[in-house]
Amino acid sequence: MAPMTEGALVRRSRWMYELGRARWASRILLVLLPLLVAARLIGRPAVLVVVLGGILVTLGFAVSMLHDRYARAVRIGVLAGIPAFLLPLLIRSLDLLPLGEIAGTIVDPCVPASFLSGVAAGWVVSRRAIDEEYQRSFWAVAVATTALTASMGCSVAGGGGVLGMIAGVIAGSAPVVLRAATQRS
Amino acid sequence: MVALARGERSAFQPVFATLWPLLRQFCRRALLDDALAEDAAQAALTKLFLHATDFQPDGDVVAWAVGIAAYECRSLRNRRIRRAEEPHPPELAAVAVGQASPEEMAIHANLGAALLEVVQGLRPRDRETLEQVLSATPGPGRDATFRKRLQRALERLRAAWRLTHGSDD
Repeated sequence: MAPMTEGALVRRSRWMYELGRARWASRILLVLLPLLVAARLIGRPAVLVVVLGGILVTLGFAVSMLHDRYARAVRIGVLAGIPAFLLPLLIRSLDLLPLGEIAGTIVDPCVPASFLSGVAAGWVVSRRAIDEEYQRSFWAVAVATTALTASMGCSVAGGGGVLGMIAGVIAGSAPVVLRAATQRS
Repeated sequence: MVALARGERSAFQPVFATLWPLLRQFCRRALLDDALAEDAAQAALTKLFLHATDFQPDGDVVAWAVGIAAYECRSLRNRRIRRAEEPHPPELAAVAVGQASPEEMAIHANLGAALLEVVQGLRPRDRETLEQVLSATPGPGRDATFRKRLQRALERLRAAWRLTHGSDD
């Protein structure tokens, strides 16, 4: 190695540190890429998997590189989103529940399934977020990851499924967030 | 270091300011060569930052850093020994490529001296003939008689060489 000035050494050391973090952050791909492959194998549209998966992988890698707590948030978000990813698909593919009719409107059973799995995901993510030092940023990253993961499955019921899942996440998070807020005050 | 391992960029400068003098001092003591120590310390520091994310919170930073520096010192020392990085004597640098080596020059000098000794033992007429050829001076009459005289002189030279030094093959 050629001798360097101290300024050059600082810059090189910083660059090496960022490279090390990028290498560390790339481990998150071991969680995300199999999920995307699974989504394709169970028949989700390629465009949907590429778009949502691309956003998920980019977000997951970038925030994991930023800080460990966001890497944890991504892992929790993906784990919390997996039921919401699978449940509507199972209901649709195994034909577990028939289409229902409420007040003359046909209701796809995948929509309430998305909502319920969203509630569970929101609850898990929020419970985990209140143990963190930076709760809001952790929660935001985890919820975004959950939403992206779950949307690949919930979209089987169209926009209604996605909206149901998001509503579920908010509904599941609300009690935990409110309780944490009242405890602080 | 624990904070840096977690991703706190604000911890970079304090870690650098603490570890750089420590590593430099350690490498100087280990290698007893300032230039080599500087190289080893720089390599150790950059490697340390590359692997900073793998640092365990319950680990000892100084022991970890010194361990990396010791490895770098050993590697550099071994590499230097392998490549024989010691500078060559200046006299060797002055030898041009294609020029005869000192060994070849000594062999030629010895052979020349031995040949001169044998030539001195020849008859004066033969010596004169050989000297004319070696000096490449035209000389009187390079005709058939001269060629015959040269042939006889060379035959006597070979015979004298064989007698003194054995076979000329």
